[in-house]
Amino acid sequence: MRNLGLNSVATEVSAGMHIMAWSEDHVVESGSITAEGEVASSVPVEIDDEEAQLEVDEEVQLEVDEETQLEVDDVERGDIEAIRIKNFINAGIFPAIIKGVAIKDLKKTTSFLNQCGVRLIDKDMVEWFICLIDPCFNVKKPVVIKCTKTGASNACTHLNKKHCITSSKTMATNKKLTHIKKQLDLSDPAFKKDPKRWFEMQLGVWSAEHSISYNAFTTCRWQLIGRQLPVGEGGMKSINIRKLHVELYTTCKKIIIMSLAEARSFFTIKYLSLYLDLIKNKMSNQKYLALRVCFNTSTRFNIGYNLTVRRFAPTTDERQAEQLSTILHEWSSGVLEEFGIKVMLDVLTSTSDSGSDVKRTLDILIDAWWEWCISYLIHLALTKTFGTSIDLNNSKNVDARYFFQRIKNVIEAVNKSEYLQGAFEEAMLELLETYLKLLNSPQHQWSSTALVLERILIAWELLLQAYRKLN
Amino acid sequence: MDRTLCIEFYSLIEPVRAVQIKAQAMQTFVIIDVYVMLYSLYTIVLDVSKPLELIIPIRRQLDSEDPYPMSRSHDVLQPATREARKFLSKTMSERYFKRYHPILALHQPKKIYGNNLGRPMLQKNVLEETNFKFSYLIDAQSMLYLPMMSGKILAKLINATNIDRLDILVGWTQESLQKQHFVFVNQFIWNKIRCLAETVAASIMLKKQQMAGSTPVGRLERPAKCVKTLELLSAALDIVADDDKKDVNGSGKCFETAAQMVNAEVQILKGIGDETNIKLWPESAELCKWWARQTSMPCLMQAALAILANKPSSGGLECDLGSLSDVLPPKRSSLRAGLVEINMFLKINKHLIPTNPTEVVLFDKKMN
Repeated sequence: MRNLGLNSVATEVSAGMHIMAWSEDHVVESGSITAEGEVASSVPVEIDDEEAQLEVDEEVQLEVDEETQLEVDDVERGDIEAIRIKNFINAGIFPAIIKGVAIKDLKKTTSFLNQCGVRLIDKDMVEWFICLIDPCFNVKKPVVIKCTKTGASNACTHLNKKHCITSSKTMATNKKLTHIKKQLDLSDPAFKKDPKRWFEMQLGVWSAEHSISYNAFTTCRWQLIGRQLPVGEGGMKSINIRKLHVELYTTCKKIIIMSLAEARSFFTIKYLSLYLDLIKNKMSNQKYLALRVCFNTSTRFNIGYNLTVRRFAPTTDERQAEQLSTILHEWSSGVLEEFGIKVMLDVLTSTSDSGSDVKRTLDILIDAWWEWCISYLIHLALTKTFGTSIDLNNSKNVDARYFFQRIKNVIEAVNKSEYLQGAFEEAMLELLETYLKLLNSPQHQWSSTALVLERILIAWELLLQAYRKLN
Repeated sequence: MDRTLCIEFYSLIEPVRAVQIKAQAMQTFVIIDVYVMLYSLYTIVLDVSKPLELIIPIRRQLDSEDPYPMSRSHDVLQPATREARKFLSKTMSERYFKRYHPILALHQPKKIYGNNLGRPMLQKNVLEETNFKFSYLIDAQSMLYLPMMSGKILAKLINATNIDRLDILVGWTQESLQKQHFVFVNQFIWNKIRCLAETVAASIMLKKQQMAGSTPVGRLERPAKCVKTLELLSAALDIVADDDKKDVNGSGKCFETAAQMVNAEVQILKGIGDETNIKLWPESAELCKWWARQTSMPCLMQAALAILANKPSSGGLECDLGSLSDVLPPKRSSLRAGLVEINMFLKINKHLIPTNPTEVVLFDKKMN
């Protein structure tokens, strides 16, 4: 396959190739074209597509400009075709079969066809192409290809098949297609099998992971994106993410149920460890029940699944009729049963904070071997010890509270003052070659106050330096 | 601001924080590590009779080893630190270490520790769950670790507990109470473990008998306190069909009762637990794996794996709940409860979601 730019054509043509003149009788073997050359009286025309021969007016003579007398060595292949085209157009000998023929305005097109032959348009605006490339070039019997009103694909096909000439544009497109095909070959078999489903599922997972709003998939922008996705005809105009989430939820649930059943088959005693918590969402002011289970099997260890974070909203009647722990027990049992867990048969141990309702549910109602969560226990102990509970009246260690308040003030002062922070940063980089920012501990995890103290102690001298500079 | 006070506070808080961080690990087995850290916390950091080791973070930061670790006796500490140390010891004891106190760990201790004309006389030889204020689950878990099986650490923890002179019951001394408390707790823990193991043993024996068709099921001796579980044995037996193929205890012996079978397994365990077999002892993090390999002790193996499944912290659950604010941002606060549940479930279980769509359940296309 060769590409027809002028230069590429020239390179394809061998140097010793003979140039053929318009008249068969006046073929100049040496390579020059004679000006006196005459066209045969009757020119049989070869129509490539229709395999018909057209007749050309006998009297028509081709006039070849003197300028066209060129030395063969100097002539490039592209130039030869250009001369032929020029001569053909100047001669105005068109096959009789094309009615109301006119030469196509070449200024309007940049097609490679313009370099390979003459493009004509008949009275019905149908395009015809006369191939002037060897070996099709024949003055007496020109090869004429009928195209259509809208496209010249027949001519392109002819050039490709007969002369191995392809436009650089087509070549680039083919290259791109080959690349895409290669990529497709390497892609996930599941994608190849059903690209629409593949996209749907991945989008479902992605939207769940990043908490993308459901409305995001009903917007015009999404429709624009969806239409362009390579999933076949029509793209993905709409996608039901809610349904996909339910499908994914069901799938994961099945996996957990199977895993639990496998563990159950190993044990003949209770085997599960249960974690239960009630939390309140500050945004919506709603309570949520969270459940997690952990277990071992003979081959897998430390397996844990979070079963649910379910809105905990017992009815008023339920609340009035029973203790909260009883309601919690019912709700938890309900969730566990959904996963094939029978509370009284499967739950052996449990850990939770010491909230009275949660503790009663686990310790008494579920009758699990209950232990207080060490992390929560430590948090409470530290908060009480250092008197830093939010409620000032609960603060029993005034000295410690005062100390931590001063630390907080210093950190705020450094972080807020541009000059102080700059001086501090400079000193820190000089000593440690790294900048460690002063931290503020979150209220809900008291033990991280240790990190606050750690940074303060590391930067003690540097802080003093910074303050001295300021003063 | 006083730097000394800052260092002292840091030295007090950091070891406690280390326990908390360790306990929150979800992917690894940390119970034994946590237990040992709690032990050193109780017996060193929070023990006011011992000096407080000072930790100076700048030395760590500069990677300079401290050839002379600094420690300061309790009396020399800053008053605020002394106060805080005492307070921390008290608050931690109230929540955790009180379980090692012979009197405060029990409901109605006077009914248990009696006296006969000034001589100690126990009213009960074996304590039940209801007698204790604590569950001793973490102690039971540590007992399943061979180096701790003898209960030496437990004994040390109990002995490290100071009993107020006014709390000491007539006829008893601090030492005798501590000794007795260790016996009670140790007994209680092993009874719990045995009870579970006996349930497993009973199921194995029952299955064997059923397979042999010789002995009626009714003759099987049921271990005490395990009635609830045994009632469900029939159902469980359908599941454990392969158990009878194994050589029980690996010894080929036939046992008449579940208790005998468990006793034999305990003997095997004690044999391995002997310090001469120290090479057979597992690393603490590999404890579950080690138990899973103990096919010669099938009953204890099941009991151990079930008990060791529990983690010392529910931190994993708490961490996952943190993503609720992502699922329910202010703009999305009216999201339906069911969808909140599904979103949370997918968010925290994303590792379970298959990548291949063919593995995902496909609902009817008409469903909306």
